[in-house]
Amino acid sequence: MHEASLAHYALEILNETIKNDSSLNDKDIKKITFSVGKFSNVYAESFEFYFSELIKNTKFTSAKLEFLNSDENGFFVSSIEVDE
Amino acid sequence: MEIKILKNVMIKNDAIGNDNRLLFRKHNIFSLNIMSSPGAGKTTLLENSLSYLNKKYRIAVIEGDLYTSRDAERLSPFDIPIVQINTDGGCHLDARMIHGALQSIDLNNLDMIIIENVGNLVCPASFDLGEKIKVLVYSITEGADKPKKYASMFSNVDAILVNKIDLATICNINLEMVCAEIKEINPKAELFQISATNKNTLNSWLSWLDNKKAID
Ligand SMILES: Nc1nc2c(ncn2[C@@H]2O[C@H](COP(=O)(O)OP(=O)(O)OP(=O)(O)O)[C@@H](O)[C@H]2O)c(=O)[nH]1
Ligand SMILES: [Mg+2]
Repeated sequence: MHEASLAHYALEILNETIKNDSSLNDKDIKKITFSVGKFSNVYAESFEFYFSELIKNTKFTSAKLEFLNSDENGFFVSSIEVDE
Repeated sequence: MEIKILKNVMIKNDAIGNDNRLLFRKHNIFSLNIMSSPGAGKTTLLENSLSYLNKKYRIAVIEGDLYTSRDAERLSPFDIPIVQINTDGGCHLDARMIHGALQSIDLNNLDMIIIENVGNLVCPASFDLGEKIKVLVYSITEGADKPKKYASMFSNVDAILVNKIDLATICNINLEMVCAEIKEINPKAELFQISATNKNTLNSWLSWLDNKKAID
């Protein structure tokens, strides 16, 4: 569906997470994991396309993107992995 | 180190949807979101339901279309508040658009808001508008395979109006089989077989709506 707008929403959520936790400021983000619900109408490849464009030149630019299928309803930003 | 976030990406839309819900509750307004593919019969259903509903309730309609205000014009004989939202190519209404439309309606003198969504059997299912009831108009002329093909829409609504049953024979549709398949996908939804063009077929739908409004 509207993966482009979802990519914006997702980046907003990630930016808020970083903003709310100052200990993350100087850490590299290694991986971002998304959970894709069965009826979420989200096509991961299309989302990835838009999202990768959006995060160019941001803190997330070199993060690996991971998509896990789930039975839960909805499309979630599940977690991020940062350098120790 | 892994940091859990666990946030639904739709949270941005859903927060505004919740604001709308609170606004509806505060003003004691019953709200309805009508969805379907393009041309399945939403406006026709509105035309033929409003002649009844309009006598009983104070109603406003929000019309969602990519372009034009044709549907709003079709409803203008009813002399009720109508707000046309043009999404300019957008494939669905979202909570923010509804919130904007509500600013131009006098909510103090209203019992019911009916939203006609953009014709689309996919995207509108994902966007909570803050409405009380989600209704799907499914035209059988689109083929008996559509419920399973568009399961996310069919499984996510409170009522399904199987429309254009006057064309069942011409379109080679077995209504019983279609309804059985819909029931499999969404056992909880209320099912109605209607011809939106024929008022006589709308009675059970309208009394169901009366009842939902009464218990809201
Ligand atoms: N034969 C028959 N035609 C119908 C019925 N319901 C609607 N139609 C026709 O289907 C066409 C489309 O109906 P609309 O009510 O404009 O459909 P819509 O869902 O509002 O369309 P959009 O808003 O553009 O998505 C019109 O020509 C209607 O007259 C029905 O029960 N039987
Ligand atoms: Mg219409």
